[in-house]
Amino acid sequence: MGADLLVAEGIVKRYGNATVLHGVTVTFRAGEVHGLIGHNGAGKSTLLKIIAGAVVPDGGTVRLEGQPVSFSSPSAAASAGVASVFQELSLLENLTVTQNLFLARELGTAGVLDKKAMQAQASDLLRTYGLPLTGQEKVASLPVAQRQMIEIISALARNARVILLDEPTTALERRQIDQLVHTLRRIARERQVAIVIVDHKLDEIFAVCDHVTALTDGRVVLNGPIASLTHADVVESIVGKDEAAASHGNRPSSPRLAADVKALPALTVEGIGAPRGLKSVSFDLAPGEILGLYGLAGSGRSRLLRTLYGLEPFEWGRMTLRGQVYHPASPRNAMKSGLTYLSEERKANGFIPEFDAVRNCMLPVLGRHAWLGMIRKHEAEQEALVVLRSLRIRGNIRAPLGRLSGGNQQKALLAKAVLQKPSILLLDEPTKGIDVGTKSEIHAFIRRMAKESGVAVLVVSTEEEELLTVCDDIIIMNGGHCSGERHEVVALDSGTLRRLALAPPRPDTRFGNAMETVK
Amino acid sequence: MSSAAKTPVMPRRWSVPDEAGILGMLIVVFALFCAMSPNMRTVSNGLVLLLNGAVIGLLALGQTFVLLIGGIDLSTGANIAFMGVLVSLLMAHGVVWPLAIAMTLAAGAVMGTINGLIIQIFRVPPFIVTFSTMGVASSMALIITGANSISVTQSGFAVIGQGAIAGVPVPVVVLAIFAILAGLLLSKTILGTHIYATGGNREAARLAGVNLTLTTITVYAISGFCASLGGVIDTARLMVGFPTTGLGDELFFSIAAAVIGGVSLFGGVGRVQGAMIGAVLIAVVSDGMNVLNVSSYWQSLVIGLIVLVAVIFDTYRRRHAGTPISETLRAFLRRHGSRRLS
Repeated sequence: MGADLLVAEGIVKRYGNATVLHGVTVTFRAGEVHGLIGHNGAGKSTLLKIIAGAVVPDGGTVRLEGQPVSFSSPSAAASAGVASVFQELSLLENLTVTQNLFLARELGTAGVLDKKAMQAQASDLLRTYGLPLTGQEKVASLPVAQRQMIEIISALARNARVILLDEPTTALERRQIDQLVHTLRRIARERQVAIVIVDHKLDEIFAVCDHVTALTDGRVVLNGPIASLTHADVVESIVGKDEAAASHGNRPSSPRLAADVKALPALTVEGIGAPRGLKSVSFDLAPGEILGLYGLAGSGRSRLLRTLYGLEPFEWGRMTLRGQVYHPASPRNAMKSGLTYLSEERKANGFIPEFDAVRNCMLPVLGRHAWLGMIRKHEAEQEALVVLRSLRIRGNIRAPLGRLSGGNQQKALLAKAVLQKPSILLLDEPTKGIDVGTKSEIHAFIRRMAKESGVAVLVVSTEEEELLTVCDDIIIMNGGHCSGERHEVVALDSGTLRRLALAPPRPDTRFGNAMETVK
Repeated sequence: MSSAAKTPVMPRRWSVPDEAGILGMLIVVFALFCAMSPNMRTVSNGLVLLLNGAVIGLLALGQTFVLLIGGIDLSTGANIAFMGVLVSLLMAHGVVWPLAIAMTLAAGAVMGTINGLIIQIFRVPPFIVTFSTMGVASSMALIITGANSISVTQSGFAVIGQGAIAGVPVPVVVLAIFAILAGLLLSKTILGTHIYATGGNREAARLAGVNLTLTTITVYAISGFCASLGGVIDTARLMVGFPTTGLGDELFFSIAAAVIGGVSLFGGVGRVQGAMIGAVLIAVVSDGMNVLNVSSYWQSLVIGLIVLVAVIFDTYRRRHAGTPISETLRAFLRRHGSRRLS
């Protein structure tokens, strides 16, 4: 066992009233690959960001080789030897591999580059780690797997002692994953660095790690060498034992209508997928029901919603909307078929920031209040105002929506969705970044909408509690697969949900069949 | 909150329009020129000033639409030359002048449509597309005329450039009519709302069902139409189609007028009123410098500086959306006053 390289001790982090990390202590040793695992929102990413210098902790200390350190930024951390390779890769695509490896530490004299020396060193490094590259390639022309390796090599070339990887395998294929796992283990041993990996896939954790730390709700629940652990130990620690009792507080008071079950499904999805996207997704959605969709990061939750809304194509499988074949080519298409979608990225693509709440709500339904393209403004505004008032938005609804708080923005977007009178409502993280009070208002609103207007609602959320509160049934996505098997919330708790999501995807017979029908 | 919920209609709070600042500046500049020269203070000079500014105003009108969706139209000046000689050539070939005008305006809209189509279908940045069509249009003007100017012999055509209605030059009347139409289009129609939405957040607009292709093509068609109207007016003022008109300051001034008037280069913000005030300000500066016998070499310099101030202001407004100007300024000083070398 190597020396303690980096020790994080008693790390505390709060966001507002919520404590994300309750005094977490972990030790990363030289020559070891260390896995961090946990459910959505357990605090893994926050911990990683604190160590990488991207987030400042509210308590605790980080020691690098015995010295207390406090990084002001990821680049400060990197120059001290703590390098992060996160999802958004930081290589410059317009430069060559060699130029990237030597960026901001170019070799040369008096500002004149010593290209030969850099080239020689670069190809040495590349050869050592088994990358079939000369160094002269433009990064833009390389596949993701190689770019990731180049980032890791680049970190090593900058004398990194600790390398942090956030879900490095999400974009990779089986063979590439094996190769990465092999190389990572080798690098850790040979260079005596500590490699820290956040990963959701137990198989990978067991394949690559020497040591594993599991977090649940911001606390370390398991910490030990991988050799002493079984899959079951890890799952049990993440899932927790007394979760079941805790999560029954907020059960939906209005049970499903008996008629729901018999109703013709509003939407039937059969084995849809696309290359490098969803593998095979099937489920039914009935009018008036709220169906939850749960899965870990990278399981394809959001991609499914985007596919249903015509934002991403699917190449196999089929969808049926009220008995008609449904194959949306664009959001406009989907809207005309009665679908409405609230995206997870509220700020990026949820609304027009300069428009006020009223105008944002009116935008998709202007056609209803116009004659020859001229808007009957008063009429349109009155309709929007009625819905906006029922949602009790706090703040000036005549101010640009970009200035309102997240909760009020989300309420406005829900009003916008209601105004469209959809038959199917797709919600991606409907209460992301929203305070508890507003959250329960939104939950009540969603339930009212489904139960009173018969809208079929599909909700994606990383918060188990939210799904358990607002949904009737929950389906599970895992690695691009969804069998459509329903789990009634009454029989669920967040522990069971996590366990279901962690289970490896079943070999899906539908997938093969679907492929054949395409031909 | 509860009182707000009970109020039957939430009255829109009266606020100072965004264009108030630039209108104030226009008044100050005009007053300064008037103080310096008695010639500035005459009605006839006022009309000449507006007449000279009319074509810039029309271009700025078209440019406003394009800027509002976050685009830019660099081909607008070259289109003046192309369309100006096109209308004179049509008349030279015996087409009666009202029909020649109609055909030219249609051709201008088609030129704009082509810009919009290329931008939307091939996803090429508007800067590059209209940069290329600028070259194409200015070349076309030379090719179809053999680089010769084309005289107009149908005297009725002159009314477009030289006529007056109740003393007001026809070009100014034309500009006023189209400016009002454009203002109504932007504020009262679905298309107008979609234009602002597209410029405000393209992706959100798409998710809300806005037809981005139609919106994009329409704004470039409007810009092409405005440029051809400018070309027709320029030709009618001189009764000669010059293949090299519109290749000077017109493009620069058209963007300048819109930007000075508060139309954001980032899209989604700005109004026709502002762009028109901007165009008048440019006309006042040009005219005032003429009246004061300042070398015309200085014109673009002065206007360039005004644009620079307007753009810096726009950039800060965007970054600190929703904060008052005083706060924006303070943030600017904090950032740049205490920046340390890293």
